[in-house]
Amino acid sequence: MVKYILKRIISAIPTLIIVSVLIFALVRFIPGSPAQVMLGDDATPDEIAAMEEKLGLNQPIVFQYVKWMAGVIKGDFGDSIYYHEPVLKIITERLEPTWILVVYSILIGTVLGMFFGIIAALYRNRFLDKLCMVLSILGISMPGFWIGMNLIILLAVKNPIFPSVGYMSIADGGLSQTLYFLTLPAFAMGIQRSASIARVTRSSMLDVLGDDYIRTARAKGLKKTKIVFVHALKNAANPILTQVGISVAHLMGGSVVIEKLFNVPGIGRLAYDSISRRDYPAIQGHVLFVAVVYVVINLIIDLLYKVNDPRIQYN
Amino acid sequence: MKSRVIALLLVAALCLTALLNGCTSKPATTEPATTEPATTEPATTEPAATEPEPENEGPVYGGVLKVTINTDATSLDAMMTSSADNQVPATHIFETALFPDAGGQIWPGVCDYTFDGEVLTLTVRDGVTFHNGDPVTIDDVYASSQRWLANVKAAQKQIGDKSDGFTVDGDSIVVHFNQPAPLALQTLAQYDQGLYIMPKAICEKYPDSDINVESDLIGTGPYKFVEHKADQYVRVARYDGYVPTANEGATGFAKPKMAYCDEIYFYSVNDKTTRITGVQTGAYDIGVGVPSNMLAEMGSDPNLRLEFSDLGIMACAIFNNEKGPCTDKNLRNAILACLDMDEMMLAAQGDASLYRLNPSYMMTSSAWFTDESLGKYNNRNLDKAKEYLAASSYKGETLRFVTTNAYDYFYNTALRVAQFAGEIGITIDVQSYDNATLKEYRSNPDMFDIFSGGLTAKADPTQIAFMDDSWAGFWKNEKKTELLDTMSSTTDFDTRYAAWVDLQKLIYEEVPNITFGERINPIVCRANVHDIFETTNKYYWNTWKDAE
Repeated sequence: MVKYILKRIISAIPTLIIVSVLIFALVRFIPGSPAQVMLGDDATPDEIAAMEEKLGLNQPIVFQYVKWMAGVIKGDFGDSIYYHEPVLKIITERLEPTWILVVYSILIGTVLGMFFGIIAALYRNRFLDKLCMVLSILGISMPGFWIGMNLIILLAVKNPIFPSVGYMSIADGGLSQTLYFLTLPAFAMGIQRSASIARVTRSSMLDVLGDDYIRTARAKGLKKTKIVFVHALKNAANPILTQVGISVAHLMGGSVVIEKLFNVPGIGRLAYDSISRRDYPAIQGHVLFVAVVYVVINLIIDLLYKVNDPRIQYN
Repeated sequence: MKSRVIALLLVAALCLTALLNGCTSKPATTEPATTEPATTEPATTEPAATEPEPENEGPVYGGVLKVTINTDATSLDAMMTSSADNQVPATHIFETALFPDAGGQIWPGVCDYTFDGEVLTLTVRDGVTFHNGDPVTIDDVYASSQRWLANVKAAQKQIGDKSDGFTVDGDSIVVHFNQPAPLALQTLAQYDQGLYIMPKAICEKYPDSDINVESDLIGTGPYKFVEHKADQYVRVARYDGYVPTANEGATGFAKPKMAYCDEIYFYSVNDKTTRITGVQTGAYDIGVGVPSNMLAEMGSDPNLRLEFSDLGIMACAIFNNEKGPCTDKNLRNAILACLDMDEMMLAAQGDASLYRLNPSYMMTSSAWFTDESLGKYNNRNLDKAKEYLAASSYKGETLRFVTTNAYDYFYNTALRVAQFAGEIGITIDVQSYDNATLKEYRSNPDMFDIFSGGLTAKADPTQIAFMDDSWAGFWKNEKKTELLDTMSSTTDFDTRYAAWVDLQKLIYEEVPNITFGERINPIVCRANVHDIFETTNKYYWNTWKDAE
């Protein structure tokens, strides 16, 4: 197992290097200078040139990359041009709301998705199945921000149950307040993810519900709930696990719009703002961070396969 | 039965967190639970002599004010930062040596002053202390002035280059000018990188960089710094030792600062819909920049109040005066002659209450305002436009109008210009980019023919961005330089104003840019919030909330 984990980590290094090269080059190829954004509308070309020199942006791109990578290897992702602070610091400062939001969303998405998926599988080709699948298509089709806007209108403006904006950290208000502030954004993200989880759950459950051991369980007179949740769901879990893993990684990188809409001070909003400001080090840091998250989540999911199904062997 | 179960589960999930939090009828906010209720008494231990007696109907002290800024404040060093979003909270902490009123007149600030046109004398106003309790001394003012001259371009240009610099003379600072310095006082007093007074030790600790340790944010303002939560808010609390000025009858920044609210939170909210929705739900007290399609909804809500303030921004199209077809002034005149400015400003602002027609680059409320446009502004005349076009070298080329939809008024006015110009056969390709790209393209004469601009009205016309030959648009003109020199070489307002009127005539003769009009800023407040800022720059020290 340890050997497998080490192998996976080593094999992720080329992926991360490729990501770093791509993001480093791409942010510099898009037009727009951070110096110009920093100095505002009234800046003259001389002032912009002076600022670019001060920021080291006029050095050769290869030199800039090597310098940045040398820092990254030592854990220094450079300083944000806009915040004048280390990128790692500004990311970690904003990690709490994003992580909680992602976990909260994935819990909502998984509970809803599995619930609808199981119902659809159990009532295959009947009204409830069709209803669940129509709902899942709707869920996939509706952008998260649109769901979010409707939730704000319904549950913050018209019926003031949840706050429409903002965030309270665990340190300031405890976990319950944090979850209270993140409920609407979590539902906006979770509802959308639940749709794909529901579809995978349905198809995976259908695969196992027709198997002999399920028939045997029925013949033994086991309760329907035990058959579904203990025998069928456990064997159908690996594809669902994959989908949940993909969803976590997707939410981690895709919380940008929702964080902006609900004014959640997470790394998604940081990414959005950094792109607008052409804050190169912050963009690079964010993308590399999300890439690492993808790699780690994939690894965790692969390891969980074995926990769920001991027959799986890692080579 | 099954559908009922599903519905119940959904409702239960949604309500779970609300129940855990004791679900109230009002959304929670991020303000701390320890906030004291509003009182009619100031919390200050030493109320200033000039404080009015709170009346039943008048301002009351107390409460927490929650306002919004567009982006997170990355620096609260008022002297160094040029970002408006940093300046809003920073100016509650730091104060300039002198204060400008809403009309541009200069009043005492941290310092009293005398100025006869040649010698400026600054003395520290009685009773002014820093937030750490230390009295402000002339050494602090001197140290601040040195840091200011070394780091702020305008300070060097308007004072450093025209004088022997600041010298300490007993309890005063004296500046001897060796040439006319019409903008000296304004530059000292200005909101944007004026002479902000800081402790000598802080000036020496940060000679050429922003203050980056929060405990060093020690100013003289009516509010002192409390905390900054990244991407969330800046929190300031009333400074009990603050002594307001005795500037009786002053307006704007020069009006005595009363610090009615106990605390102010400056929340960073970069999405305007989120900002306004936050005011609707009570998360914020004031939201600036109501989208025109939300005005009716805001106006009909009894919990809210709409206010309209001058924004000091002119919606403009700026030509490439250096390269390409738009270097031909007949073509530029042809485009101007096509435009119906009411239509343009409606496209920009979305509602007739949100703009003012104005041919000038100075606000209508400014002493510098002139409506001189050689009869060309808002005088749509297609025959005349065709005459100009025929006289031009335009041969049907497609003009590139670069803009951004990061600002609705940029994009909408660009489209409208293209439609109007199309009526006389001018082809315009509107190219929309993100804001950073627009800024880069407009600085490169190969990348555009016209670009969208929002020119900020300044305290003095010589400070308008396009007066600098190298600024985007690249308008160079000998007569312009002469008139600017005239304005810089005298302190006499009448002479300067006459030069400015001539300069505006020149602008309408040459048409290096077209201004469509003046934007007005719709602001939504909670109904219990009163007396918000009365200048184009935002401040909240005289804003108060009804007693709870």
